[in-house]
Amino acid sequence: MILYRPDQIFIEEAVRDCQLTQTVLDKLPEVEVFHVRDSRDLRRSPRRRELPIPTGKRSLLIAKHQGTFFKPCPASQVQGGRRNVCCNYFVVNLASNCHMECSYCYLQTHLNFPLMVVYANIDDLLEELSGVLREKKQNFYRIGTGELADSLALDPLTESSRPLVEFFAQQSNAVLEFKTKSNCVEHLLGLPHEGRTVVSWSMNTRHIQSREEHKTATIDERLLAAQRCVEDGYRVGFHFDPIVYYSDWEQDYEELIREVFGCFSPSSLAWVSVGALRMTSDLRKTILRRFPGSTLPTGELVPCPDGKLRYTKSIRRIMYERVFGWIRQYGSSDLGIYACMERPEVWSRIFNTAPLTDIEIGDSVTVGFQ
Amino acid sequence: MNEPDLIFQPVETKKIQYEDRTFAMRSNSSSSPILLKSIRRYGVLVPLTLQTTGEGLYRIICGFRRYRVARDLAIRTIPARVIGNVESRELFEMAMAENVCGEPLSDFEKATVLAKLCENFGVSQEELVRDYLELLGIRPDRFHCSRYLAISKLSAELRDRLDLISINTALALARWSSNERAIYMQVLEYFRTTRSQQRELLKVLDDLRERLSRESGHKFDLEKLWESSGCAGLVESKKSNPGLLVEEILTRLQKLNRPELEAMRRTYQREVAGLNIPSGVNFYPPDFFEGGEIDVRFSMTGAAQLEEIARELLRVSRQPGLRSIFELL
Repeated sequence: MILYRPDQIFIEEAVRDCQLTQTVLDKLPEVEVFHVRDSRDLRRSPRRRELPIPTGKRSLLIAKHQGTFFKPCPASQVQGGRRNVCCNYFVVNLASNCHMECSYCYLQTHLNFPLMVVYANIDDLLEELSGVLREKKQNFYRIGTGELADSLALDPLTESSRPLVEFFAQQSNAVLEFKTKSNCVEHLLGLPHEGRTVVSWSMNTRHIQSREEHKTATIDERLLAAQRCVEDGYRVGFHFDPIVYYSDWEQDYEELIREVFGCFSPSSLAWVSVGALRMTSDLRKTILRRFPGSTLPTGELVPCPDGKLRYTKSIRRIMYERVFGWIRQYGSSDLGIYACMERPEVWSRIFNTAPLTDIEIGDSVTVGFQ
Repeated sequence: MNEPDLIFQPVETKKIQYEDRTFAMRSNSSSSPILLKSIRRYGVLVPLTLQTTGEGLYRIICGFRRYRVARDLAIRTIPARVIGNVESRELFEMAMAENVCGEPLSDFEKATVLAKLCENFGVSQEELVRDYLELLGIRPDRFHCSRYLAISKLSAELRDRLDLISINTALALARWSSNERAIYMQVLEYFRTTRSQQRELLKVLDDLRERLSRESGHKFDLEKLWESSGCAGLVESKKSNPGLLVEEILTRLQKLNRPELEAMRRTYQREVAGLNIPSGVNFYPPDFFEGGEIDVRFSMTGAAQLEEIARELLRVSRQPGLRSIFELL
């Protein structure tokens, strides 16, 4: 994996004295630093906003997160008048953008500001979460930090995992998920997590990882990092997402799934999800432009009611049937499994049942934590 | 801009260098008949803006069309405002300001203006976005800037076909080889395709080019595909109804481009045909089979007909073929 190292750092006045800011500066003493009064000025600047993606990522902005951190996963929203099946997931964003370069990453067209951003006001986040979890004690929450960024890729610089793990260790109605394609688990080891943090990896075949997931940890590095977490008492999760249709896909995904479940006992696994490749048509254009070697945007993709392009239903169905079959074969039937951002009729076919409610799916995934 | 030295004077038409098109914003096409009528009747009412180039000659800053009409009408002198030593970039901006106030510039003319700013005056793309795009009525961002600069680079061959194809089509075709373009243009010319057929044909061919070249790792040969798919033979045959032939070409290409979807379509059509749906009743599957419902539409003239349709639909509902159709969704 290639670790992130910015060429310059912008620090917003409001977070100048935050612990995270100091931690980053201590680790990058030779990087040029600029202080800005209000990061919104930077965000509004056409010069910055219009930077090409790779150039933008070379600058790091440490800022104060404005507004609320805690929100439902956007996958639960109605899009194009239709709603996909949702797993009752919640997200908090401590960073925005990712220095790794997965060809299929939706951040390329989703973000309107090309710089790497980390939010330093973690205390505000913890206070807000504390209120939410206290107020709705009867609910159980699965909360992730990987919506707009990789959860751990910047942890070597920010060490923001520590306060989060320590906070969740004290909660009875929530579990935290760090979702990553990195192997940056160093700062997690030895923390008093009390089983309330799950570290999960997006997994793909070696064929896809090497061609499409640039700068990320290799599959071997991810498995090794997961083993280190398990040895430290964490439960781990795996997201086989996006599954990609190519000539040797069956052989490669079966091998991957057999390998993953061969490495971990069922008791160390928290949950598993599967999602077929999907992209907006804007993202497809971006991939065609930015990744001339990628074959992902030229697959047999058709527009779906939520506006995303997916493989035709006949392909998706075969892929899901096979992949879920291998997960049941090599893994455990008790495992919390779900399909991410999929159409209700496809879900029904995969699981042989009408789609459950969000809460029912969420509960089935987190059954081992409640 | 500093106040330029201004001199208004009549200038001999023959001393104006029309061929120097440094400041021309518009294509060298025919002038408007209204302008011709006006100048024939009243002469040139609005003075041209000219710059001296030495040796008693002038180049045009503003007024190319007025000049051309005057010359064609053999008018010997034209009123002009003569500007002396002013930096060329400022003069270009002046010409732009004059042109955007008149008849709207075409996309290609706007693109040419931007290209001139870059090439002749060293204006960066960042400056184009910041200072010039809005003036030309273009959304000021990098995407549109790049798009217009790409338009300015369209070959003469493609520019000449803008009567037949759209700018977007021309931009897509610019990435193709001239042989590939010839195949596409041949279909358009022979079969007088509709705009939507043009778009569909372009999309399917572009998708196939992109996919097959990425999958094979080397340049895609559209000519070979055109032959092997039988499309070349269809074009040569020129038999039958041209509209149907275009549809046949599109179907053959779609089978190559989206084989799974086409297989689903064929299954659907076969199963629907086997249901013997009553006439006047139509089944509509969701687009691309993405969705769980099939729309059924029919109209009726009275209760008796509704009863008849209902009886027939009840028969259809009991057929195993209907289950096969829902298996596709």
